[in-house]
Order: sequence, then structure tokens, then C-alpha cells
Amino acid sequence: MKKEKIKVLLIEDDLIDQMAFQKFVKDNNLPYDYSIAGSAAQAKEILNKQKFDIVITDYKLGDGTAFDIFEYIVDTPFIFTTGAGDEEIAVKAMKAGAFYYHIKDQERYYLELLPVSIQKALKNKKMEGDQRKAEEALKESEEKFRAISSAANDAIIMLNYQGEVVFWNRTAKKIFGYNKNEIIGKNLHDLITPSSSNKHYLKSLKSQWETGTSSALGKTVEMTVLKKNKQPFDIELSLSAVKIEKGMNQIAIIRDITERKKAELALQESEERYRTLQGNIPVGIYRSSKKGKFLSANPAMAKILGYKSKEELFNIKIESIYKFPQQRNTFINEIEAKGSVTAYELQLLRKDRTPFWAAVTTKALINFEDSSIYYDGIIEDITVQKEAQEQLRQNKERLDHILQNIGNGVMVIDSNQELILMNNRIVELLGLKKDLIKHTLSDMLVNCKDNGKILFEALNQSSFRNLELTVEIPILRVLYVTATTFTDIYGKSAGKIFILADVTREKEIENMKTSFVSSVSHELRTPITSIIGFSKTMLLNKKINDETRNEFINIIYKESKRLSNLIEDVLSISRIESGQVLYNFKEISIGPIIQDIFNIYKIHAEKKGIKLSCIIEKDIPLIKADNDSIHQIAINFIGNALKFTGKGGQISIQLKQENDFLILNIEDTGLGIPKKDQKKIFDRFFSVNRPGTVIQGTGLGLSIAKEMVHDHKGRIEVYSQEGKGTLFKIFFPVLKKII
Amino acid sequence: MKILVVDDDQNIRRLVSFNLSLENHEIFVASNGKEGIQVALAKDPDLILLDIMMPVMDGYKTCEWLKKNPRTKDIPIFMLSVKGQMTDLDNAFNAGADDYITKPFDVEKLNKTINYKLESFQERKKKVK
Repeated sequence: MKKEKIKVLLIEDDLIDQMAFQKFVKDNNLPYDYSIAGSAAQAKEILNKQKFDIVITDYKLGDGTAFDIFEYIVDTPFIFTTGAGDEEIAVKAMKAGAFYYHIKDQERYYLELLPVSIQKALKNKKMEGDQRKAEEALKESEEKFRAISSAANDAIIMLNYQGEVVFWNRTAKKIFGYNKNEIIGKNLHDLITPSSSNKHYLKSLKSQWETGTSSALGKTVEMTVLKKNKQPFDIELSLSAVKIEKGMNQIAIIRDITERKKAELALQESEERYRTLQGNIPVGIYRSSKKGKFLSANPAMAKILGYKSKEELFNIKIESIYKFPQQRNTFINEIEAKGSVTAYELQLLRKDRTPFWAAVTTKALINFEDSSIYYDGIIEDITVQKEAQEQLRQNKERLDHILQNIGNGVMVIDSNQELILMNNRIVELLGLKKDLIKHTLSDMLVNCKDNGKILFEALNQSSFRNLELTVEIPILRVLYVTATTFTDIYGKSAGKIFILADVTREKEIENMKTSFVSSVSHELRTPITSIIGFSKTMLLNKKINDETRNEFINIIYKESKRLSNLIEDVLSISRIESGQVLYNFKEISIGPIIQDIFNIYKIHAEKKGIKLSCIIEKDIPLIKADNDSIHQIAINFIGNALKFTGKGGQISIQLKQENDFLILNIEDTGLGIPKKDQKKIFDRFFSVNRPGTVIQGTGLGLSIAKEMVHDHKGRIEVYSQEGKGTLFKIFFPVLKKII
Repeated sequence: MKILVVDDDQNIRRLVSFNLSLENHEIFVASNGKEGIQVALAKDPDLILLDIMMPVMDGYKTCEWLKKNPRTKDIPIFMLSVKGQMTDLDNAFNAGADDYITKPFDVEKLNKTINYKLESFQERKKKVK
């Protein structure tokens, strides 16, 4: 086997010495694998890269001394060479850790000595290593023990054969209160033994320790001992013995169990309390036969069923305590099918025949002596729970009913914005389809303007009222949202309740009122302009001739009249609105009224280039009506027809009887009413928006007429086509003739 | 000067015509916007008084039309309306109106305003030429 070569580094600045070393190694065939460094710098460089078994270094190097490289060769043995007369330095080198030194002589005999020195150095190094390993192992195990014992939650105490403390760890100090210095060498038993009952035990323990045999050894016992301040406390003690030098040493591991004792005591107390509590709840325990007799029962069983004693129970038939006796068979079948039944709810009867709810848990068993079947069971009176449940159920049902029938939309979300509850109305209000399932608040708000952004932005408020939410699909709706936060039992926000009210109609009316105000103010300004304008004109121009003056006065008069009519209209709608109209109902024929109006409007119509016709059936029946109201109704419809019919158009008025109704038809060939507006034309302040044209109107005429027709128990029908014309049919009920 | 009065209310037409004719202006009238445009094209007036709320074609539309048409775009237009809200004024000026007079108005002031405006428009016209 090839022996491994020794790795040698020669640090030598003298070229001749280097060559001498090389030659010597070669001539003697030495097993050296060597490197040569010619300077301190080169040596450092080599040592940084490579490890050597041995370093031979000259003291004086071209760029320093051997001391400069000591820190690079800490673990490697090294041999020192110096020139003659440098012995002092050699001693210093030995002190610094050099294994050996050689004085370089002229003849270089020192080289002959090198192999021996190297051998020795390597052997020494190996020995040193082994010893160090052993020392380190010992040190480590000591440290481990110290670390464990000082970190241990248990007190670790060692006593010698005389009971004197020889070891005392940190936890021992913490538990007992004695410092290490105070206790080492003292007798532990004398210090910690209290004058109570376990003194005897400890004393016997002491004697046993002294003999080296103890029944306590290897066991764990609990006892009460004293702290330094003489305060008693509970410990758990484990003992073991170890023979050291003169005799038996005891190692005691001690744990402070004060807290554990407290916890145990608390547990015991709560158990006791629980037992007392259970004792107060009457739980009937029984055994019954298949035939329907009680075989045994506890007193609570009798009490639940309203009997004085359990003996009384043994005489009754079990069927008789069932509110529905046939239920016993069903119940028994179930027990036998399943083997046991848990908390089966039954209605039973007390001795005085009052019913109560019971929860029965029972088990079928077989008597092996006679193979008969019997039942062991317990009964609890759950009437109170049942009543509470019923109350809860009723409350829920009531709430559900309210929820589903309320006019407002209601929904409840949890803190993750997921839906917990909602009613049908909200689905309708938010323009959603009933059969599609919605999970989250955002699912609910898909048809809202900006996907309900305004509502999401308000969510961080704990509550808000009348937030205006606009739904755009499938029809435009304005909703008022009111929200409140509800909390869980810890007071944390658990979600929100939303109540949505449809205010579309109110908003429309609000808009109509606004437009009414501006419409009325416009209508007022036009006649006022004429009145003021013509009066001022006459005041300014005294020379105006009589004819012109008359013309102007006439205009002023007519415009004043127009103003007065308008004011009348506004007042009359407000009178109707507040229910202040006083009708003078009489049996009248309305034919002459219509004829009069026709005569007046005929001239108007001719001026506008409209053909106005009127057909009144002969022998039209009487109706119960207010003369003035009929007049106004007719004027409003005919006036409207004239307003919305252009030059060359036709308006026909017709009054006739059809079955039980007298019908006034007013038909024109005017602008017509767009389909979408046909329902709204009777609304107060509404006027059809006709882009590019403005037709004067207060938006009150049809509204007034409708109210009046309604007060005559009549109705109005509208048939209209945009661009073609409109037909209004006004129905008045005919008076029944008494035969 | 030739002045066109467009208003659906005949009393207002009469009132304005009478007062302006006292100032020796030649007056033309029309009862709605469409008619107003026809008269404007036919008579080439120096100034137009234009009501807003009228049937067939309202004042805004009429004004816009006149201001777009090369033949009429330079004729100063005064709106004459019962509508006195800020938005009404905005609409009128956006449609190209040169001035805005609300009803009811003072006939004396109307005459004066129109005379001064006509003078300044005429002067400007001369300068441009």
C-alpha cells in the first residue's frame, strides 16, 4: 500500500537553502510532497489556498519575519530555522508555538535532523488532537448537564450520603428561596421538613437515604414542604440514588405543584357544583316492560308524571300516559328497529291529565332469564323549551309574513355583504328576476345606476336614511334606502338591514309641481305684459285716437279676464285637491249646456280654420249633475281639442246614450297623445313634451275635469294616435227610472 | 329701420309693433318661428324680436336657424320672453341671441334699448364695410 505523502511547506528566502532542501529530499527519497514559498507574502498566499501537515520556516524572510505568518498556520505544527546567533529569537518562536527549531549551519547538517523533527511533530500533533477530543467531549457533557439543570423547570438537588446538599440548581433556588451558597453543605431535611403530618414520612425517608435503600427510591411522591420563609407548599418528588466515592448520593428532582393543586381543587369544586345542579333538574329514570308497565322508576319520574310516589306508577298502564295512546306502538317499533332512541319528543299526560312535552331517550334490552324485552330510559320535561321553540317559530312566521307583504323592499346582508334575508318586493324594486339566485349585495344592485355605487359608498356609515338609489333596468325607479347595522352578541357589526321604498311617483309629482310653478308663472306673465304694456303706451302717448285707445282698452280687459281665468283654474285645482268643492247636484239635462258651449267655440274654431261640429241625440236622459261642473268639463275637453288641432282640422262633439250611460264624445284630428303619456295626461301639472313646439297650458285642465267626472261617478276613456288625433269618451251614469 | 316681431301672442305683437312704429320703424310680424324665418328671408329686417315659447317652432330653434343661415346670420336677434331663469338666458345666448328682454317689459325702455342697439349695430356694420 502506498503510504500517503507528508505535505510540507518550506518558507525560505535563500535560494541556496531552497535548493539544498530539494536535493536533500530527493537524495534521501523522503515521502514529502512539498511546496516552497520564497517570501512571507508568497507563503500567506499558499497557506490561504492549501493545508499542510507541517511548515518549515526560516526566521528572516525578504519581506518580513516568520512571526508575520504565524496567524496563517495556527493548526499546523511548524519548525523554525534561524541563522547562528539568533537563539533568542528561536526561544521566542518556541514560546509562540513552534514545535522545534534548527540553527542553520554552513554545512547544512541541520537538514539531516529535519526528518526526525518532522516525524516527532506529526506524532505530537496526533496525540494532542486525541487528547483535545477527549477533553472537549467531557467539557461538552458537563456543559450539557449544567445547561439542562439550570434551564430545567424542576429543582435538581444532589445530596451526599450524610444528607448534605452538594448540588443545587437554579430552579431549586427559585422554588425554595435558598441561594446555592446558603444551602451547599447544609442538611436539607432539617430545613424543609414542616412540623406537620409528613414530618414522619420525611424522617423515615432520611433514615432510608442514609442506609442507601429506600422504598421511596424510583417513585414519585407528593408532599408539603417549607420554603426559606417557612411558607408551606406542595411538591412532587422523584428520587434516584447514585453511588459516588464514599457512599450513596441521592438525586432529587422536585416540582412545585402549587398551581396544579389549585386547579385540581377548582375542578373538584366545579364538579361538585355540577352534581348539585343536575340533582335539581328532574330527570325521570325508568325501566318498563313491553307489555306497558313500569318495572322501576326514580322519584323524579313520579314527580314529572304528577304522581305522589313511584309505587303509584307501577299500577298504571303506560299507554294511559300518552296523549295519543296509539303512539306507544309506533314508539316501541322505532326503539326495537334501532335498538335505541335519543331525545324522542312525545306529548304525555300527567296524573291530572294535563299534557306536557317530554323528551325520551331509551334503549331496548333483553332479559336473558325469560327472554322478555324491557326498556331502560330517561324522561325530561321539555315543555318550556317546546313553548320557547313554538314562540320562536310563531315569531319567525309572523316576521316572514310581514316581510313578504310589506310594501317596502327588505334585505339583510352579513358583514361579508352576503345576503341573509330578503323579501319578494325587493326583487321587484331592484328590477331583478325572481327565479335567479342572488348571493351578494352587488348581485342585487346590478340594475342600479353605476351598479349601486352610491349605496356601496354609504356602507361605512352605521346607519343612514333616505339615500336616493336609482334603478335603471327594466324601468326607471327612484328608491329611498334606509339602512341600520345590527351587531352580534359581542357588539361587533354583524351586517346591515336595508329597507327600500319606491318613491318614483313622489319624485315625479315633485318634478311636476316644479314645472307647474314655472308654467303658471309663465302663463301669468303673458297677460300681465299686455296689461302693463298697453296701459303704459296709452299713458305715454296722449294723442292716440279713440279707435286705437278702445282697441287697447279692450285688450287690457281681455287679458285681465285671461289672468283671472288662470287664477281661477289654479284655485279650483287646489280646492278639489283639498276636497273643498261644493257641488250642487240636480237632475238635469246636459244637452243645452253642450249646445251653448258649441255656439261659443264655433267662432273660435272658425278663426283657427278648424271645422267644429256638434251632434246631440234627441231625448237624451237626465243625469244627476252639477251644472257648473258639466260646463267646465266640456270647456276643458273642447278647449284642449282646439289647442292641439291645427288649421284645416276637425273637431266633433257628440252626446248620446249607450246602455246605462250618457256619453260625451269629443274627437279631434290634432296632434294626438304619445302612447307612453296617455296614462299621465290626467295627472296634475302634466303636459306632453313636444320638442320644437310649445303649447300653452297649465297642465291642470284635464286633471280638473277628471276629478269632476269622478265626483259625478263617471269615467273617461282615451283613444289616441300620435299625429292622427284624439277621442275622449266621457261616461256619465244615467238615472234609473223607478217603475 | 325694419324690425321683425315674432310672437304667438297677438296682443304682444300689437303692443310691440305699435310702440316701435311710433319711432318710425317699419314693422313686420310673424306668429311662430317657421313663419318668422320666412318673413326674415323675404324682408331682410335690421333687427328681430323673438319670443321663445311658440307653437310649430320655438324661439331657440328659430334663432339657431337664423344664425346659421348666411343670409340672416348678421341680423341682431333680441329674445323677448317670459322665461327669466338663468338657464333660459344660457339657452338663448347659446342659440346665438344678441340680447334678452324679459316679459313684462317697459315699453319706453324697450324702444330706447332697440334704438341704441340699432345705432351701434349700424355703426359697426359701416366699420366692417
